[in-house]
Formats: sequence, C-alpha cells, structure tokens
Amino acid sequence: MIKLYLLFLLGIVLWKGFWAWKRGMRTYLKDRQDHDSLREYLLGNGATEWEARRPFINHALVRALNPLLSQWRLFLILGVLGVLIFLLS
Amino acid sequence: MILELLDVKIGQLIRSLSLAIGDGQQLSIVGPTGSGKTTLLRAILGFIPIDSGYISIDGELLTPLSAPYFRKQMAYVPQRLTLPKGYRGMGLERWEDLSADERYLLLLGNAVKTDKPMLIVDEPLQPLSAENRKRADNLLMDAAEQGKMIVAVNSGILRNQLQL
Repeated sequence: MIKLYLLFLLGIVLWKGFWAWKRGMRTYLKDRQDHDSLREYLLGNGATEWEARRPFINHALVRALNPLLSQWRLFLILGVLGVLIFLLS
Repeated sequence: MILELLDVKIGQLIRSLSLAIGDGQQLSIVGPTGSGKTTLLRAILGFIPIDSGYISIDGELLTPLSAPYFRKQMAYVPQRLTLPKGYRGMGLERWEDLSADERYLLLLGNAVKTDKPMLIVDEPLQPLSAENRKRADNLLMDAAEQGKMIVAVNSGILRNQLQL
C-alpha cells in the first residue's frame, strides 16, 4: 500500500513539476524575446551576465511556482493520505 | 581613461573608423537614421562583434572576455527599454507610470548620477519634446562638468561631432 502511495505521489510530483518547468521556460523565453533590452541595459551598466538574467529567472520562477502554491489543498490531502496509509499499514 | 577605436569595420555601415577619446572629453555621433550610430555604441559596449580593427580602453583590447570589466566603468542609456511586468530595480520603480520622454530622462538622470567615468548615451526612439530635450541637454552638461567621458548620439550640445 505504501509503495503504491509513493508511486502515486511520485507521479503527481513529476506531472506537476513538468508543467511548472514548462510554464517557467515559456515565461523566461517570452520575457527574453520581449524585454531583451532590459538584459542589455543591465549589462551596459556593469551587471554580470548572471545579474542581467536574474530578473527573467525570478519572473519565470514566480510564474512556475505560483500555481503550485495555490494548489496547497491538493498537497495537504496527499500528505494526510500518506500519514493515514502509514498508520494503517 | 582613453577609449580608442582603430580602423574599425562593422558590416556595411562602418567601413573604417578610428578615433580616440580621453578623460573628460565628449563626442556626439551624428548621422541620419540607419547610419550605424547605435551599432557603433553597441560595439563599444561589446554587445556585437566588429569585423576588423580594434576597440580598446586604456590600451586593453575589448574582447568578449574583457567587455564585462569595461562595462563596469560605463553607464549606458539605451534607445529603448521595456520591462517585464512587476520588475523593480535600478531605480525604475515608477516605470509604468511614466511617459516615453520621462522614461528616457529617468535613465539619463540615473546614468549621470552614477560615479562611473564614462557615459554611453543613445538617442530615444521617439524625439523628445523641446522642453525635455533641454532637460536632457542639461543632464549631459552636468555629466560633462563632472568630467565624465561622454559618447552620445545626435547630441547638439557636445562640441566634438563624428559624422557617420
């Protein structure tokens, strides 16, 4: 039962992770396409390449993780389910 | 600090350009649209490669590796800047509330305020109003009085002009 639960949990995490990654990448690439002038502005004012990319990475992370955070009920249910299965087995 | 360009060729726009600018000197790059003014600034910033010739600062060649170190001494005002929604930083917090002219003046003001010895100033995409043009000129004059090296595009107030 625990193995089945862990497999189910892994599936959910991989599925959600994949969509978060896809959302983040799409945001990053779109921002780079639309606002590359910001990267050049930051570079031109002495930022390192990493510092110049950080606003895009931050925005992508927020866009990727926000929907996951808003699904906290799902993760709460999964957690409670896990505890119940562990206690019953 | 000395910025030197020696026999620089960039595409079909700039065939063979040599110049030297020293500390506290100012240069206005003038020419019609598409003559290579912004391209030249971008080459000085190390954003685009040059086909032949050399760009150096204080005798050190500008290369992809050295460009980040050179840029630490520069303050750059781009032709246009768009920000992703919600971006806060570099003193651009009120960006979304500003007009195009105000945005340009903000960038120029920020660049002049820095203690960097070199200003690279592109012209705005849309011409500034007469009043704001005067403000921009005053900011450039402030920078010149501070002894900064200025390379600006189409600035009428800088005495030395390079026609492209």
